Amino acid sequence: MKLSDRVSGALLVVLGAAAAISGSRLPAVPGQDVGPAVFPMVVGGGLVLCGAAIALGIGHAFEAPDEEEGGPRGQWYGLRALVPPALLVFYVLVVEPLGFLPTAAIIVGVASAALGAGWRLALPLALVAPFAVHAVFAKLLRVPLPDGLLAAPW
Amino acid sequence: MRRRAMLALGAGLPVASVARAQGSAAAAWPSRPVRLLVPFIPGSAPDVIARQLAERIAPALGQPVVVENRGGAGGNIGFEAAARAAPDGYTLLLGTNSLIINPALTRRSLGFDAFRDFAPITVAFAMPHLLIVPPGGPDSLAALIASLRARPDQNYASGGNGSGAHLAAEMFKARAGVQATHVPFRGAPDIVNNVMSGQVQLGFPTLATATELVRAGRLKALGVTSAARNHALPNVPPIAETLPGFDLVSWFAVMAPAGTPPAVILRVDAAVQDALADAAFRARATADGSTAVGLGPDRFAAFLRREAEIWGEAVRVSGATVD
Amino acid sequence: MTHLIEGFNLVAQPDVLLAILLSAVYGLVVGSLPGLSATMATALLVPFTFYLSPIAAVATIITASAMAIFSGDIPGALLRIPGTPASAAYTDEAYAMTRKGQAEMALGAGLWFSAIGGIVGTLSLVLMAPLLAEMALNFSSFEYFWLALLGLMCATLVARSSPVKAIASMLLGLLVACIGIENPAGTPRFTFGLTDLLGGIEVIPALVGVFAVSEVMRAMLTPPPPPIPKRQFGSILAGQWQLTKKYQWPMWRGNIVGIIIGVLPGAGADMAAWISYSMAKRFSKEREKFGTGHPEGLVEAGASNNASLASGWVPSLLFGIPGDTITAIAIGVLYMKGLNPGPTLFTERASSMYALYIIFILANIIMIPLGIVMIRLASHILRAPRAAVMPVIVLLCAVGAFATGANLFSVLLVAVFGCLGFVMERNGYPVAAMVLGIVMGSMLEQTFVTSLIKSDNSVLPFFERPVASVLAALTLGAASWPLIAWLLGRIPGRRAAG
Repeated sequence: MKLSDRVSGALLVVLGAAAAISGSRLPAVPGQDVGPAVFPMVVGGGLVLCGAAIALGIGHAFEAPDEEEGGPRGQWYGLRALVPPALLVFYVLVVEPLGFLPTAAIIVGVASAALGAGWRLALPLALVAPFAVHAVFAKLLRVPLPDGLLAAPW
Repeated sequence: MRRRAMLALGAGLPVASVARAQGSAAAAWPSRPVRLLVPFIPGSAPDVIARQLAERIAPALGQPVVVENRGGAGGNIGFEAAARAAPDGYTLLLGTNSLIINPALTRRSLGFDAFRDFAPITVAFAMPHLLIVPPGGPDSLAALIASLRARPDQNYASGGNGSGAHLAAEMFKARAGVQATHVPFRGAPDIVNNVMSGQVQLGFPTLATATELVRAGRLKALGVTSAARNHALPNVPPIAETLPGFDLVSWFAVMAPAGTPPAVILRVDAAVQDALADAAFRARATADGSTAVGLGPDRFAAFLRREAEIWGEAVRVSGATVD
Repeated sequence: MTHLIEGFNLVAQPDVLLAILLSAVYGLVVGSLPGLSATMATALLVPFTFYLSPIAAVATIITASAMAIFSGDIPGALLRIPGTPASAAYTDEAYAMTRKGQAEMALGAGLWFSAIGGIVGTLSLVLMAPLLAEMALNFSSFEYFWLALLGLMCATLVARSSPVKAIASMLLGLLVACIGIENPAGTPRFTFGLTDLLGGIEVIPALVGVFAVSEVMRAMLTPPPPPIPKRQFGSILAGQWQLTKKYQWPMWRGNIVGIIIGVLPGAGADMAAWISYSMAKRFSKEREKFGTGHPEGLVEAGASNNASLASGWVPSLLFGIPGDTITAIAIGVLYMKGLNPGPTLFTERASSMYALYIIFILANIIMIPLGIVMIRLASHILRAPRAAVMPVIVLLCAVGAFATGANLFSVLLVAVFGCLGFVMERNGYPVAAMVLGIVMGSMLEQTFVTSLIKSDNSVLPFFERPVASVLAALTLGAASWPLIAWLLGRIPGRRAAG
């Protein structure tokens, strides 16, 4: 997701404008002359200015040069970066029906494989790590992790 | 099975009879830890009360009572979670007056209804608010009212829009027929801070946050919002002596999702009542000026209706309804 | 003097000493778990304090919170998961040192200067608590407003990037802080009808997302780095002594700034670390090394962080006004134990007060040996293969975010902020500046609105009060700095720009 400054600056201008406009529609509150609308409008306005400045290349001289990494890669290689957030969404969706231990095992196993681990590392890790995390967070610190299909043995 | 029934018997006779009627499922309660949802962050006043209660009632229930904080949005997130929880007796809620204030503050429907979604168990503690002024401020409630009449541009501090301190002050303004401008700070401690240094002329923090400062002469207390005097500051008169009928307290109660088996409710109530009857526990829990209430399930519902009227009026007079 | 001796006697009880030791180990372990804050660690201790004597009860809170704050730096330095918003100020610096193979040095600096900051902060508490308390009391919303703005200006200094992009990131953080109902008007903003957004965006999920998840996302795209060479480390402390000598002045500056900011309820450790780190960079002779794994900023910010924690107890003990959630819990415990915080605590219960002071010092001293053990154990993580560590981080991000409020929505937030952080970093927008915006946003708005109400919409009081005017000058100076720097950069011709 390397964007040019023009694109990222323009995105900020759009975001800032949207924030300022929807902020300005917030109702006033009796007794407060500076109501809830002011702060989003100021921040949104600031974002518009910054976004425009970035799009025009102001301040670019201060940036450290890019460290371009890696050689040529496939077209879809960049999508690999989405694996961690996708796993987190997966956790949100299935942890309650499935239970913490199986969900965690799947997450650890998939992430490990995606990072290039062989099954001799990924499999034991997926089996051990969920129990260790559950022991510390649920057992010792009483974080209410759901049991789902497979309750922890403690 | 037999042993469990005996345990129930130990917790109070009415419980045992109901438990028998309910059959084995309820009699086996609780077979795993019970969670007590606290809709506020760790360290807040309701949280401290919940942790004290949880610790004290666990032995009577025979299972640990685990405090679970679901803070945010003035309690709404936690209240909604409790309303949606399974009414199996394994979810309890630490309810406060926010439960009835929050719905009154908005025209949108929240994810819960204080009357429909919860089974009342016990009102455990109440905490009055304290009317404070700077050390150099007016000496009596009458003098304060006179001062506010003479100079209606004075400010009062609160812990935020719709907080107990805000509504208590608005109620006071309405009843006394005076004006003052609301300065909403980020939290209750800011009230004390700003009144002590004289930057704001008055405020209605909870009694606990101001007691020691009043004793040390750093703040002047002109009245408590409860109908009776408070044991922590016996010299401070109730506001009701000047403005009859003024009675506004924040409260902390144990509740459960609606539909929770009556046997469970009676047993939890018995355990809480037992804790409140314990002199040592009572002394420890009320050291900050809160009062033990001990209103059981039979009278809780009426209490809730009365409170809804009082705080509803406070919200109306404040004009604090948003959106 | 008799009070001091009595205080020593109160502390020298076996139950008190045991409570200190156990809560120290507990605080170190819990604080090092990502997502579990020092507040959570302290709250979980409350039920145990019921069974302890008053002094032992308070000792557990003091010790566990001090330890948890330090050990929150450990995942920050090793894995780039800062434990607290305060440590976000220097997480990138510490992580850069780790990648240079100096993890022990970075953590050692955190430990050593935290302990020094804690002890100096405690001494300030002993010697001038009433003075500091009066100072804090004279800080009105006008001063807080400028302080919040000054804190935000630090955004341009902590990052190695374009100041314009730093400010944009900070504004993005402020926009995130707008979300929810917790604003002075109590009006829901940008909640899109979701109850979960009503409470606003919690800092911890955002922090975990932009730092930890984005780091794992980057790892997905890059080949594993060459293993960090196993180097023979001498004593962790020996290196720290040299740093102490070399950076004595930044250390003292950090201590003093930390003490001053710490006593202000609501400002506290979060802001102290940011301001101190920026000051270290601003006044350093080697500014260009900042952000590349240079210990100078860690020295000043670490000292400042813990000094502010100790002095944060001043308003709590003297007025019962909590500076943060940890001291709020401590106040609850003090009440339960009959040690009601307030001015009389210092006069009528002087021996108990001395006992508390001694516990503070003791906690900061035993932090050093226990912390060294913890650092040695934790740094084994660095020798584990990346494909084993990163998956566990993903899991910890999920569980840690969930633990902050037992709410799955937080886990979703972690994922969203992970993506946001990843995109921002790829394009040169510093994520730390956004975190700063999220932390400071509500304070800025609140103090601005309350100040205007108090002054009847006049702007003059913002500049009239002496402290406010000094802070205003500092802030406006810092605000115009990027512009000045840009102009300076243009004057010598295109050489600097090209």
